[in-house]
Amino acid sequence: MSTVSVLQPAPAAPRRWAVHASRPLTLYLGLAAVGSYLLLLVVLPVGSVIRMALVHGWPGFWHPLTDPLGRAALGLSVTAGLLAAGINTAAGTAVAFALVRGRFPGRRLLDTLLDLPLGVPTTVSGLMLLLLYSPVSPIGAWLAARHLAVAYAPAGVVLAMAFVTLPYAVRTVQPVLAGLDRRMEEAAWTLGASRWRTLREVVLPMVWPGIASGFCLTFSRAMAEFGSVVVISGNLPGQTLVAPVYLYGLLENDDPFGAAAMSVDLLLIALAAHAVAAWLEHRHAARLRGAGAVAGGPGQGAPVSPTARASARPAAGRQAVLHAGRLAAALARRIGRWAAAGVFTWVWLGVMLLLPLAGLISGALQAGVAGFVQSLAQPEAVASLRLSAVVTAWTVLFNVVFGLWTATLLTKHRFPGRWLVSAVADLPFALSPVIAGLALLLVYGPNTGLGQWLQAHGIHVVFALPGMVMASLLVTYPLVVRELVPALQLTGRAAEEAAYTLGASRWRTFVRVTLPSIRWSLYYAVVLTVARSLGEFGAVLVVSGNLVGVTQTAPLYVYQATVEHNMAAADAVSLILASASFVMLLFMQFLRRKGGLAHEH
Amino acid sequence: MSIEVRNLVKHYTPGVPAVRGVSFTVETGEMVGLLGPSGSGKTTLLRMIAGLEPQTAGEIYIHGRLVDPLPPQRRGVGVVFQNYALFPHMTVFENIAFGLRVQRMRRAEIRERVAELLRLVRLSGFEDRYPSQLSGGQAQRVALARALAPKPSVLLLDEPFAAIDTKVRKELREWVRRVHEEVGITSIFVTHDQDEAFEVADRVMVFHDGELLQFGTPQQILESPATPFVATFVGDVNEIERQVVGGAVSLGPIRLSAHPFQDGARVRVVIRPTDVVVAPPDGPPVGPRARIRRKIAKGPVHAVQVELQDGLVLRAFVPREAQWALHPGAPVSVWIKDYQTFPA
Ligand SMILES: Nc1ncnc2c1ncn2[C@@H]1O[C@H](COP(=O)(O)OP(=O)(O)OP(=O)(O)O)[C@@H](O)[C@H]1O
Ligand SMILES: [Mg+2]
Repeated sequence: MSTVSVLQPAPAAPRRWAVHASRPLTLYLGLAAVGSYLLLLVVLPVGSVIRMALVHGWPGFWHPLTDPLGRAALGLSVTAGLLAAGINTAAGTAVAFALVRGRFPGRRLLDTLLDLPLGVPTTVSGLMLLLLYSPVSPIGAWLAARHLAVAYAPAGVVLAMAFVTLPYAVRTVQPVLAGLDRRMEEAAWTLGASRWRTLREVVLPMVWPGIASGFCLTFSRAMAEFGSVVVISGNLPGQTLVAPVYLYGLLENDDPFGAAAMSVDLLLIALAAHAVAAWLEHRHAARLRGAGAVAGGPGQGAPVSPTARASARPAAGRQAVLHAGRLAAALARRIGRWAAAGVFTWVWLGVMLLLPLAGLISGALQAGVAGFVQSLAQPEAVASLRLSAVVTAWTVLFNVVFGLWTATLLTKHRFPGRWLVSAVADLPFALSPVIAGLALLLVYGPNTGLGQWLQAHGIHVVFALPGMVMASLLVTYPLVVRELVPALQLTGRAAEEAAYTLGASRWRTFVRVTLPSIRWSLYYAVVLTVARSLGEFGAVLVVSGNLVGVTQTAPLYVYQATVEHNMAAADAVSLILASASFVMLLFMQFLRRKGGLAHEH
Repeated sequence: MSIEVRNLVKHYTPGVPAVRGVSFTVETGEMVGLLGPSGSGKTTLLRMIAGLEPQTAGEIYIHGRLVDPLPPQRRGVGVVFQNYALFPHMTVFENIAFGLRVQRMRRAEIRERVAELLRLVRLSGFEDRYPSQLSGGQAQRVALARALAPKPSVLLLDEPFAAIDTKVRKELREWVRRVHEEVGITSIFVTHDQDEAFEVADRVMVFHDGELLQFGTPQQILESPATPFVATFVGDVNEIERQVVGGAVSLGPIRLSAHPFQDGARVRVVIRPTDVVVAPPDGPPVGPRARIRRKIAKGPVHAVQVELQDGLVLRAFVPREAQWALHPGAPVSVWIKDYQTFPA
């Protein structure tokens, strides 16, 4: 059945058909439900951040830059974000190459473990790095003796950002490389081009838009990072204090205007990065799809002369890079290309991933299993884990219902303003978690009209469970929509139309035909939601108030324990969270394979 | 001897041969057609010659030189890939110039050579187009020009016309043959289409299941196929299994000599449809009586099925000029002009 859907990627005609098929009622109902959901969850909160930033007029944008500390924080965020994205893109491209093309022992294992930073709560990530690099650890001490501090230093900020964004660069480049036609390279070889030259002139030009777009997304995510940075950086104002933490500080000091102004600046930078990524991907797709429509059209003579193109010479600045590449190629020839790729992948992921993980495990079990169990048995620890589970359960429930509803609305209906719904659903991607928390606070907080009204009627949103669920939703909702939309697009109309002609109602068709065909994507979205909301820190921190035993989730508990130097407690809960995310990871891998199969056959 | 292959073997997975011990020699300037069913190892053979796939055993010589240790870059072999594999981010000019730039040719020379090649493939003026702006036939010609640019001594073409419609295809193959002669190169081209192979190749190889069954001129292959497989593959032949009785096999009323097979042996008789002569019932020539079962117009001939008296059905080609009543049910006389026998 899925063969049919793959072979018929609903072209324009069936889409138009959908207008007739869709009874306006379902469309209006869906629009009303999804619209109000987005209004309450995204539009109002983000809108109030912008409004707050502009209460003093347009200079609001410049406000953070007038404070030297704010300027330093924003500068550090951007610089460290660029660095982390640069490192990850370079290493990530190499790793993606090795994973796609290489055959070396442990390839599948590394491919699976790569997603670990997606599932591990960011505070836990910070803790892992802190355990590894703090001045009291062997590595930290060794580095400190050489004046190479990582913990409580800018290098730590870059490292934390690189750690949490590790999967992004690889996962954006991987499919591009996998889709590359090998015959293109073989053609270059038979024309006499060396492997290095082929890589440079044939492979890279075809994959670089994918790489560059991966860079933009990695940068945006790195800049937004809060939980891990807050733990490892020490947050020294003017030195290691990043913008999201600065923003959080302003919020704590009751300066919502300053916080909102910084938020808007961060949001603008992130949106710009996303826009560039989207543009690159669009352009790339357009070129490789082949401009079949243009073929044979008049006036095809391109203005650039062949000589001008042929004369494009590598600039002097690139010589060094070229030289390094040639050296690496020579080295690879020595020990065998794929052996070299395998070694690199193992070393890179070993240092970046496995070492911190090992540090966490050894830290948690330092006091033996008994100590570990005792740390876990603390009432606060138990309460935090239970609360995390409750928040996650609610988040999954809402995400499944509204995620499905949104994705269905976006794929099975056509209506004016569809792009707007799609854009708004995507918007939270560009939000740093702290900003997401701030945004909710500015709508439902104790100082707003709506917040006070709700409170007067006995409804507690902020500093209570509903606010925490909303914070988790805001962060995970776009993940679900992005996962479900392509899946729903793939389930072509054919099967659904067949069901209609067999007399099945729309609802029955949805439940019996559509849902089963996207079930793997739905499970995947659920797993993603669980992993993210179990670990959500920044957004929850802001809206929960972090009341011990009442609104303290597990990641918050880890944070607090770390700050209070109660490492045993922090380690124990971290290990539980990391194990949970590891299980999620195995699930994800399994689902991806399942889902991949379903797409192929 | 431009290309010589000795006992070439390829196993992609150990124990599963894709090419099993193939030997042949292609002379300089020859154009060889490589014919065989899907999965018979044609692409594999080409890729091994080009150096894109290491062989499991055997040797490959190009101009008498053992090329096994050489990477594809240094074999002087041009390849036209089935889907052309043009570089999508380069213009036609840049695609063709790629192999020349690799040789560090001077820019003026590159321009000259590309212009010359574009004239050869009749695409002058298309320099600045991107591959996505070309038709299938044009892309095919660019791919050919690109492969020819570095002046390879050997040209390998893997199903070069597969994606092109029949009419253009016919033009292209004649044109490729002309280019082959003009450039003076040794070529091997893979094809599924026997007409294509027989029409343009000097000699044809027939591959089956990783084995080279026959290598000869089109005439040799058509007239004396080396194995029943070749016979059935190159024509849509009649194949009948019989026991030898009294030094002959009988197909209904027709008796054919089974020399050199002994009595009692089972043999396979292969008769090409063109060798089944269908004549009016009263001749000439006069043969056993039969009946027309079906008639299909097929190019310059009628493909007919004739049923012999005992129910055996033979396929036959009758020239269109034969104006006499060939309608189904019509009585005819049948006569076998030529046939072959193989052990069953
Ligand atoms: N990379 C590979 N790995 C494993 N087996 C392969 C590979 N390439 C080809 N084969 C196998 O080797 C055999 C020969 O394949 P090859 O591609 O040479 O056939 P072909 O004659 O070119 O077929 P076609 O006419 O369909 O192109 C087939 O059984 C095929 O499945
Ligand atoms: Mg092939």
